[in-house]
Amino acid sequence: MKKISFRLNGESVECYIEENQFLIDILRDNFQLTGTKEGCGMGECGACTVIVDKLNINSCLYPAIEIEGKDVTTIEGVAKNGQLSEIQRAFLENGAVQCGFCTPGMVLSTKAFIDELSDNYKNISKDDIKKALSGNICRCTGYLQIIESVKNLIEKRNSAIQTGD
Amino acid sequence: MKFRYFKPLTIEEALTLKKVDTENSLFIAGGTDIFLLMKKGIIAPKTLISLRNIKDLYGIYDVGNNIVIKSSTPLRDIELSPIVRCNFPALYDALIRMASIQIRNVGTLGGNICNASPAADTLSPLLVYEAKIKIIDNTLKESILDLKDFFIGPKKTLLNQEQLLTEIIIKKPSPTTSSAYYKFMKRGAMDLANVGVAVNLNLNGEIITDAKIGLTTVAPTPIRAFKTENFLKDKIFSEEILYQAGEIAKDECSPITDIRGIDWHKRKVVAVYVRRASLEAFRRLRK
Repeated sequence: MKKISFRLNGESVECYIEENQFLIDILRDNFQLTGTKEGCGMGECGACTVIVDKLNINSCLYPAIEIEGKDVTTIEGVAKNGQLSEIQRAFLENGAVQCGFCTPGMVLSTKAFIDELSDNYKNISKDDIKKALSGNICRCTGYLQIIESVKNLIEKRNSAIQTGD
Repeated sequence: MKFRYFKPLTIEEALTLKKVDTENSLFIAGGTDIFLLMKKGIIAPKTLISLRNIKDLYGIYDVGNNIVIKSSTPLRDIELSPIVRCNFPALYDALIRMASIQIRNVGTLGGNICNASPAADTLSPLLVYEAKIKIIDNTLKESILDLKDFFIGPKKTLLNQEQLLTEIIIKKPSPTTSSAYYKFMKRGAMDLANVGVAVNLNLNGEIITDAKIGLTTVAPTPIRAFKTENFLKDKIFSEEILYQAGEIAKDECSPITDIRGIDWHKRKVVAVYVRRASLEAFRRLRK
């Protein structure tokens, strides 16, 4: 067992891990954060996506031991004070959630994408959104609503910026 | 799946750890290939030596006539680098079509090279740039090798158990050079190359003074299409010439029928993609 400390959804945490554990294992088993889903376990489906130091990664392939000193955001850290985030609301409003298994990963990939744009939403095309989410597979909605959610969110933010909101 | 995992901070420390149980330990960078093999039970190393925390193995540097990419630099950092995008457009083309952002945030260029898949996207661009690689052994002796000599079979390289790939060295292009990479895949993302073609052209007006062509997934290793390159040299750029070049390239490779496609179809795609990638390189030069 090795002790590691890192930031998890904004709080400093510590835990004991085995060297052969992956990040998804400690999130689900040690911290009971079961919003992070394991789909394929092979880095193909993106259901296990979390954000590590601003980057979306597959937690099923990320050694837990490498998380020492890093900043991790899971789906549980996206809503603040019981309020859904803008991204989550956009998913709800556009009917982008069906079975929900891919949703945490989709939301986190969207978050990494939007945060990286840092309010520079001009010329963001549907194709850019598709590329940003290409590592997340959905087997229910057929992607259309998910892509629409992100598009609507970007449009909303863009018009808020233009009107000085 | 049981293994020890070490996080050395220097190259020396990593090589010293490797000496402890050379046969049963593996260097690991992003792990996006190695962990798959381990999860599938294809390999079972007892010890993993992580290269993620070694500062000397990270970064993209402008060094004289060369751009140096350190081996453990994540693919996404390379794709977002303006130096890479403007000097090595074929490499950029390849990177943005690889796997997913999640994988590219973690997987590294050194890892893609050492994994030595015949379908690896970064390899045909690196071949047409005549990239060199730097290798260090456990006596800290460094050697530089042409990348084209590095691959000896599917998933096999010249790298031995005691060596580490540290740098990828690419000469800066001349202003009369441009390049492009075309990838044939079944879906728009998250797919391996069924065929990959990189072309690097040097033009004097309409005359092709030099052509380099790299092919992936159509031979046991990534290859250069030397016959096609020789054919294109000193020819005037035209549709007819590109057509002929595609036909030569098609016969120069040796694809097999496998999960990625049928041999004769891969050859046809090579012919088409040699033309398209050449045309794109030409267009970029005219911009």
